[in-house]
Amino acid sequence: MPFSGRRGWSRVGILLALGLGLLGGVILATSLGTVAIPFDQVARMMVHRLVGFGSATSQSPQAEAIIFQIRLPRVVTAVIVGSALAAAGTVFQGLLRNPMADPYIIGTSGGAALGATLALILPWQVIWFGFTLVPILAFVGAMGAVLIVYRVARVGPRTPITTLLLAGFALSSMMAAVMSFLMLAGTRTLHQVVLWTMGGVAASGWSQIQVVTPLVLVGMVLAFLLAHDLNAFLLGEEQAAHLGVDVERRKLALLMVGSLLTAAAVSVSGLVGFIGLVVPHVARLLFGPDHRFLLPASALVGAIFLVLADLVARVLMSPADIPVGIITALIGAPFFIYLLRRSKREYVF
Amino acid sequence: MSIHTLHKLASLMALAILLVGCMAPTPLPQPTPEPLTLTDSRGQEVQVPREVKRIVSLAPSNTEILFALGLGDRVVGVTTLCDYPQEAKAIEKVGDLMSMNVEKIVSLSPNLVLAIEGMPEVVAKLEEVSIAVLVLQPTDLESIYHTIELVGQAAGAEEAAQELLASMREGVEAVTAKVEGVEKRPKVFYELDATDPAKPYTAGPGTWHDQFIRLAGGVNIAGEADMPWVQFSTEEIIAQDPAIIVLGDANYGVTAEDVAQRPGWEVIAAVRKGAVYPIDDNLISRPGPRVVEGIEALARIIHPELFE
Repeated sequence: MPFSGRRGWSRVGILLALGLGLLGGVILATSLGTVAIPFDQVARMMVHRLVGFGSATSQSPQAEAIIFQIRLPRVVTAVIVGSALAAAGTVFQGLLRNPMADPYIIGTSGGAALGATLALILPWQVIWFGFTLVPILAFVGAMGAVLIVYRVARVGPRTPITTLLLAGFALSSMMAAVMSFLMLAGTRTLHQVVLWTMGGVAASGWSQIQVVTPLVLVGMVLAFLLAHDLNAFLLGEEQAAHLGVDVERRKLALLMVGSLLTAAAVSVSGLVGFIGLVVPHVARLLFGPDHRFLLPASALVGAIFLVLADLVARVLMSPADIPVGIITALIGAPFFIYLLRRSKREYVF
Repeated sequence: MSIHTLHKLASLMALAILLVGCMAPTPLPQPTPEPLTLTDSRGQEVQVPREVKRIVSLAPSNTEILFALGLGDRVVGVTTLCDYPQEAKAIEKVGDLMSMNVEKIVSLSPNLVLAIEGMPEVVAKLEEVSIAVLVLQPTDLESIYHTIELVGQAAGAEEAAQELLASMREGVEAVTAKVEGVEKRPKVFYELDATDPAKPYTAGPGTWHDQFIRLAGGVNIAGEADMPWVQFSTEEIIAQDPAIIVLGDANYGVTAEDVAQRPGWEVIAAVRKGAVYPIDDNLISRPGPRVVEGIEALARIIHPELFE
């Protein structure tokens, strides 16, 4: 699908606008919170940290700590998680040609949740690159589950989409059952497990961000490089093969990239729902189905959406913190329905 | 064109990495006097500043310890659950049962935070901004004494702590002396939560509840359970046939009448004899200074004859 120079420019313009929107969202979200810190003070601190320009003016080390150690890591985590989940959702929907596909569909959520539950029950205290056992086992669980599902779903040399989806569903159910059993056994950690499965970006700090960011960036770049294949998959696997796509290898590559993005996001945020399912649809409605454009646009929309949802989550009932998954669904679903109804043409997936 | 977009993407990513790198944490300036090194319930060594002027408590038990040590005027933040003593209710709230607001805690600029287990992310965040955090998680009477001592050391209130401990020990001994030599040790079921009345939660081995029931001259029917916090089915309770049921969930409105209404419970000895008693669970479940009152309240329920 070659597109004209003019259309290309408008795409760059849209991505640029989304990027600016994200920057604005980040600044807004960092400026607002339970504790009121005047905007000019926030701006001065940010400029000082970023380019070393101007006076430090930190009459208040508390304000410094709140902005740079508590709010900003939380906002940056929202950017990373939101973009990773939206990109992963785009990959899975395109690859599986299924509008109900989300990043969790082939077992990543079940595997991650099981890993996190295990980590919460195990008595060991492990700190590794600033990570406790929970994110490590969540990541391992998510990737492990996908590998198992892929292995199980393989029929001869091929891995049909249907078996992949069904094997994912079966394994997810099994892991959910094991998790429920473990939760029953570890009553004292029940509360923590429940909170983890609700998802949230509050707990993450710079050390986690420094590890997860490269993973997500690698995933994004790989996904972008595979965007052309995703476009081919939209026509069906047979057609894609006719177009010269090595279907099975590319399928595996896309599965791994999507799972890597999901596992990285889930390890710092728990199971934030809704974004990976709906943001790709929103982006597709707004920007069309070409994955070379859809992937970055979807990632940016996901990042903006989660940053704003998390802002609402922590400001709405402050000082109480609402699990962000509640907000993403509560705000996102009506917006999605509005978009569906507004679009003049029928939404073709 | 796609190469063009790729370039753009790459530069965006470079910018992102740059941003992340630039904003790496810078530690806050440390207070000058030599800090005190204390070991908390995690077994972790914590550097506590010499002059602890502002304290945030993240649990009702911690709040009660602080006030009992006469440190109430230094407490600048508590949870919405901290309802004792009365003065604690007027203090700024930093969180509830579900979550703690780290931003709020930091804004109160405490130099000591008293946490409990089950909030590792909050503790990690606070430590990241160089706030001293002691995690207090006692498991029995001795370790409750120890946490009180620890708080005393941390806040420079050792004397008050020793006084408090002496009076607590005295109070517990008064009960155990009475109970010593009783002939019958009745079987007790301590109900913690009956949200599912067919499977109420109770306290098993390794909990201070279990120890308190023993100190008060009873036998905990969950004392041999597999886990410390455990659900007991109606069947199992009927089989164990406790002579006394203590309603730790009385504070949530559960009454002896409710218990009598539960299907199957009418055959349990405690229900038949009307030996189902409410208790103020805050005296038992909060591992703080008032557990002495809790132990006495239990003893009065289990062995009323000793208190006539």
